[in-house]
Amino acid sequence: MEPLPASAPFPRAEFEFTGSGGEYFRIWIVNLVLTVVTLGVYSAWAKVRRLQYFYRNTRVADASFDYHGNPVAILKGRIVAVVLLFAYNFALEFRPVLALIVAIPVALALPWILRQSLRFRLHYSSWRGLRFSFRGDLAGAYGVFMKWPLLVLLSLTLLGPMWHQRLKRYQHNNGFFGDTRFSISAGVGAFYRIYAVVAGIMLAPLIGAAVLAMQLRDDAVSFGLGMSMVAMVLFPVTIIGFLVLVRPYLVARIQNLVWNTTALGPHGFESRVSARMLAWIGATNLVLIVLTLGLYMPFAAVRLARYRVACMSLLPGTGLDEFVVAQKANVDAFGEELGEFLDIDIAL
Amino acid sequence: MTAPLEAAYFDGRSSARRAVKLHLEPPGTLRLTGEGVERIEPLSQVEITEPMGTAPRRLVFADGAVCEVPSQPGLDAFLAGAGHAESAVVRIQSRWRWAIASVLALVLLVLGGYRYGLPWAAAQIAERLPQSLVASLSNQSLRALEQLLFEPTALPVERREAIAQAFARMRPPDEGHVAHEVLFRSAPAMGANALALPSGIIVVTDELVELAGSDAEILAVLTHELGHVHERHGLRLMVESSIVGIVLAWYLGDVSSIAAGVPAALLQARYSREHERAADDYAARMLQVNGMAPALLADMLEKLDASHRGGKMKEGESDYLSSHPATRERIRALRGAR
Repeated sequence: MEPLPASAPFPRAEFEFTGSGGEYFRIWIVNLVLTVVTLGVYSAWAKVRRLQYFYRNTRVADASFDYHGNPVAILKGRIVAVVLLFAYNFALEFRPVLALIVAIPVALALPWILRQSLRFRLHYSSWRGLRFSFRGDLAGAYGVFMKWPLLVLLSLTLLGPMWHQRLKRYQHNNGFFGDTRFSISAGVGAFYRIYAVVAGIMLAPLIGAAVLAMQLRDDAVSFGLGMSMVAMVLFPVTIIGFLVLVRPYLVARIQNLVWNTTALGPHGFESRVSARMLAWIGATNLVLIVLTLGLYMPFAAVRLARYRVACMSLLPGTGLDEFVVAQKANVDAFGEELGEFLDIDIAL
Repeated sequence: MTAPLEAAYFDGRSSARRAVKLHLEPPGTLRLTGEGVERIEPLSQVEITEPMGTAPRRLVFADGAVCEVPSQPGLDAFLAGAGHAESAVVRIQSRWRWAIASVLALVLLVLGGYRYGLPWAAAQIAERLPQSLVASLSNQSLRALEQLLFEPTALPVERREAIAQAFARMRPPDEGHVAHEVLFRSAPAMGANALALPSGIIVVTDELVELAGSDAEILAVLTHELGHVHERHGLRLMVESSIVGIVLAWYLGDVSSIAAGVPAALLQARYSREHERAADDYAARMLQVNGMAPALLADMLEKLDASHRGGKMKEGESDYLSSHPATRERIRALRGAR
């Protein structure tokens, strides 16, 4: 190959999703039936096939991603997680003191579990024949998953956006593709700006209620009536508002912020997710899922993936052929499944 | 021999993409040529990812090198000819008629599981819950009821003791003793009623004692409640709604774990019909064993029904969602019991 001049522009590479709802529906329904028939045992294989479908249909620069998770390892992790979860819930119901015996070690181990989860996901992902990996240390995990949540609590959530930035920094600065490191430059201020808008949207109905209260305060009866009506309307409106408006806004803005400031060696990324499109897709998906009693779910997942993937571009700084790998490592599935079952989603 | 397929080759050590031609040479040899790649491998030495719709397939070599090739019929035919069998799951996933059959199978599984599997599993689990847990659970429920509904009883202590002792003297219809304790509470909001907690605590309201024409009728109601305790209906309901809640939450994902509780509560109403019938059956047998008429319970049911309807008896009213469904049917059965 001829050496290229240093300033040669490298064409941007668009991410694209090639899957279809119909194809995924067949995988999804078979996964579901086999999971039910095997009383959940198949769910580990179902998860691998589901992720493989989405990874293999995500392409950039003439190559698709792949997922290599081992179903047996996932199953083992799931069994441990289910046993722990049942022990905890059972104990909580009948013997709250016993629940502490289950909960305290799990809580102390949680940062480790979450780090395992990050490692598992990346180690079992590949592109162009090279694996990704996560090499964050345990001290960092205890920082972002234990110290920071406590600080957020003590600060009455005021430090929340800062925690989010620290979390993303831990995740992205320790991610590797082959031996090439990811890095993120997003500052704390950018996170605070996004959360300020979120807080504004969330507070709007409360302010509206306060204004109404001011106008009704002279008439005790209509005040009481008005307040109980406001309370009745406010609660569902806040929840639906969060799901339909706030969440898409948060997901879109965070995805854009994170990926627009993330680099992989000399390469950059661009993310152009629109909160409005995400909200539209989310709301229409929800309606169709309800109308079809859930059968639309796989189509909805593909529709969302197609949009989110299509909003990403890779901005190569040099040729894309130069990533290499020297070392290889194996990770077990234990942490990921535990994290998943304890209902912790660090996808945001 | 078929025309070579366009493919991409990655050596597993760098991300360099090399365009190659994949020659499929029957019976089972793969040959890669192009851009500095010249590789011949027997199919048996290559790991092949399963087909998934239009997603590309990967041929993974023992040294970690990968060949990515678009999914296509030519490749499928070659692999089939070389004796490479896809798993049964892959074959099922690739056909629409299997997908439709899966939907039907799922509906049948869910309905069958709900109708037969769920009560069976709940009964098995309820049977195995340790008594100490049952007691602590029942005490929690009782405390909640005391706060929400109950007030101290206004009945004189002699009357209460007379009823409780008369009930304690009655023999259960089956072998073994069902531990129980009768409590009296006033419950203006609930009216005439009796309820059993899984640990054997039976609460009778003052209103029910006043409604009854005789102590024998009160004892008849107590035998019915003891039937619920004996059959562990309360525990079974609790386990059933927990299972339904878990399954719904899992199926609906995080979309609405809040909403999952609502259908679970509604779906339960159907079960109480069968449970009431079983408790009636137990009561009838217990009354007979003690030389009393099952019709006593029927009389009491009529009075309860009337008192909760505000005195009106309307024929053919739908009782589907009430907690004591199909009362008339039950009364008829008790009157018919020999």
